[in-house]
Amino acid sequence: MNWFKRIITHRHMYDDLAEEMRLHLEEKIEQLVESGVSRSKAEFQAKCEFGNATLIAERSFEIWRWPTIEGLWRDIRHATRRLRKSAGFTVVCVFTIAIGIGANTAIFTVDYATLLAPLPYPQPDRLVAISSRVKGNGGLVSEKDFADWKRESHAFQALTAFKGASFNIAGGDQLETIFGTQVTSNYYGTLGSSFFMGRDFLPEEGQEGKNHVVILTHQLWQHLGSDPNLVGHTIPVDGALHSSWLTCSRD
Amino acid sequence: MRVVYGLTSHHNLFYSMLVSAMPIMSPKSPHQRDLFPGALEMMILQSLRRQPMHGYALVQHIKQQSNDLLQVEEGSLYPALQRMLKEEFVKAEWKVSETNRKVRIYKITASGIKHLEHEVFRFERMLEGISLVLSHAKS
Repeated sequence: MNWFKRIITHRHMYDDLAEEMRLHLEEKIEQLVESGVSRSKAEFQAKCEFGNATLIAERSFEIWRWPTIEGLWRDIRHATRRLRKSAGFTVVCVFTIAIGIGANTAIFTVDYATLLAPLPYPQPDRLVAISSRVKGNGGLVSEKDFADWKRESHAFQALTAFKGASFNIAGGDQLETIFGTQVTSNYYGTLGSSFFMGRDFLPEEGQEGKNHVVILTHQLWQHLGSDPNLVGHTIPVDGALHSSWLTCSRD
Repeated sequence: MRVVYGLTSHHNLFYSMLVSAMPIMSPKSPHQRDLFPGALEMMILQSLRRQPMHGYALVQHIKQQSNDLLQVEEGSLYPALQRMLKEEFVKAEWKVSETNRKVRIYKITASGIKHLEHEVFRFERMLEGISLVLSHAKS
C-alpha cells in the first residue's frame, strides 16, 4: 500500500476498526445471553472482559501512524497554545528574532555585495587587483611602475590601470559634474565587457594628444537623454571637445 | 502482545516454555502471563490458513484449539491484526456471516503464508533447542 493511499484511507480504516470491535462486543454479549446469562449481566461481563474499547482502538490504530510527524505536529500545537497564553513573552521573542534576522540579513547583504558577489564581467575569477605599497602607503601605482609591470610581468594576460576622477560635461543647457574613471585604452578589453553601442578605445587613443575620447556608461547615456546621436560625436568635457562612444549597459 | 492463559495442572513442554520464557506483564491475575513476541501472529496466521474468519471467531478458534489453555484478549488481537494488515500478511473484507451477522473476514495472503512458514520454522528450532536444554537438565 503506498503512502498516499495510506493517508487518505486513515479515517476509513479507523471507522472500520471501531465498527468491527463494536460488532465483536455485540457477538460476545449474544453468546453469553444464549448460554443463559441475563442480558444486563451479559453486557456487563462482556464489557469487562473486552476492556477499554477506545484504548484498544487507539493502540490498534497507532500502527498506521507516523509517530515522528504526529509528535512534531503535537509539539507545534502545544507551543502555539503556550505562546498564545503568554502574549508578553511572545512579543519579546518575536521582536528579538525579528531584529536578529533583520540585522543578519543587512550584514550579509552588504558582505555579499562587497566581498562575495562575483564581479559583473565574463570571467570574474581571472580578475585580480594589484597595488603597490611605498613606505606603508598603499593603493596607488606610479605610471612608471605600471609600465615596468606591463613590460616585465608574464603572470597576467593583460594589465590595465584606472583611477577615479570627476569631469564637467554639458548636459543639455547645464554644466554637470560627473564622477567617472580615467583608464588605459585596454581597460574594457581586459575586463571583457561587451558594448551596447559604439566601440572600445583604439590602442593609439591611449597616447598623449590622441586621448580626448570618452566612453559613456549606459547609465550616463540614459541620463543625457538616450540620444543615439551622441555616439561617435563630440561632447564638451572639462572645456575641451571629446569624441564620445557608448559602452556596455552594466557599468 | 497479550495472549494470556490460566495456569492449569498440564505441564506439557509448550506450556512450560511459556511460563519460563515470558516476563510477567499483565495482570488480570498473578497466574496470567504474556506469550513471547510473534506467537499470537503465528497462531492467527495458522488459524486463517485453515479458514478465513473474523475477530470473534479467531478468539474462539484459538481457545478451542488450545483446549482452553490460551485465551486471546481483544486488546492484543486487534493491534496484532492491524499490524498484519499493514504488513499485508492478511487482508480484510466486510461480509455477512451464515448467522446473518455483519462481520469483517480476514484472509491470509501469499506473503502471510510465507511469513508463517518462516516463523513456524524458527519456532520449531527454538523449541528444539529448549527441549534439549531441558532434557539435559533433567538427566
